[in-house]
Amino acid sequence: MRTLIYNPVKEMLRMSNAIADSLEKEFNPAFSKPACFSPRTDIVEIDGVVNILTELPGIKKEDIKLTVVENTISVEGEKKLANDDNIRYFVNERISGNFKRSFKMPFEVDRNGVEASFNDGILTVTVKKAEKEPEANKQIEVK
Amino acid sequence: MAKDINKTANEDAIVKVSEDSWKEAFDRENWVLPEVNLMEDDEAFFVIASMPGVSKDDVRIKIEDGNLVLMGRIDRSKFEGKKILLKEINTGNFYRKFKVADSIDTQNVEASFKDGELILKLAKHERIKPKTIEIK
Repeated sequence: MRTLIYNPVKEMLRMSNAIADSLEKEFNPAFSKPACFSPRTDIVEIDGVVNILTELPGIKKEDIKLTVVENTISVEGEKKLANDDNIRYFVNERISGNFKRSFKMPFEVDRNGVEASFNDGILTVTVKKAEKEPEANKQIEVK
Repeated sequence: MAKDINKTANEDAIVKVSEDSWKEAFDRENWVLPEVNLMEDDEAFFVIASMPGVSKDDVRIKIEDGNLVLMGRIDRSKFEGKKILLKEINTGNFYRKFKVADSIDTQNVEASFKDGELILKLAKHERIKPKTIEIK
């Protein structure tokens, strides 16, 4: 039978390594990047038409999926990063992976009138308001 | 500024920045840092910069005083004075400077711009390329 000699210094070193490892995991960008990211978006209203501008640099047009469900516009897709074993990274600021973002419009959306274009890494979705008048706001009298 | 750029031969990749509109923009407009990836392999350095909203003609790349400068102009004038419902994008022209010193071969720079992304391939100078020495 082997005799185990308790070495407090070794034990402390092991603990300090464990802390360093967990800190590295926390701060290493490869680990801290979210599995799904939300692309930055501006929404601007021009003459009653709502323009949703989403930043999607480096993404192919075919990889973007745009859906309208009721009054919610959803953009989703995947940004793929070229992987080459010969390439070493110094800096990786550009986010990659799956993305999804939904925008609920506070008005009735004309679902046939939604148009989208993709230019220079910016997805522009124009959303028109439906002709149908929303139900009038009712004022309730307090009795 | 101009005389430093003259030492580069690849005029397609590196364009002179001389237009007055660019000079004016430096004083008047916002400039933000593009997000970049920096990579290398044995032969070259790669820079990928995200510049969403910039068209191909509005990108400038120059190498001067050992610095690589990336610039992109953005035209958001049609949204000026309009009703903004959500603002997340840091609107501004893109500017970023990297020190490359003499580690790259300025004669051999390739640039492409697609879907709001600038991809640069900067060939390494012979001096800094890794060399394997065989033991006989």
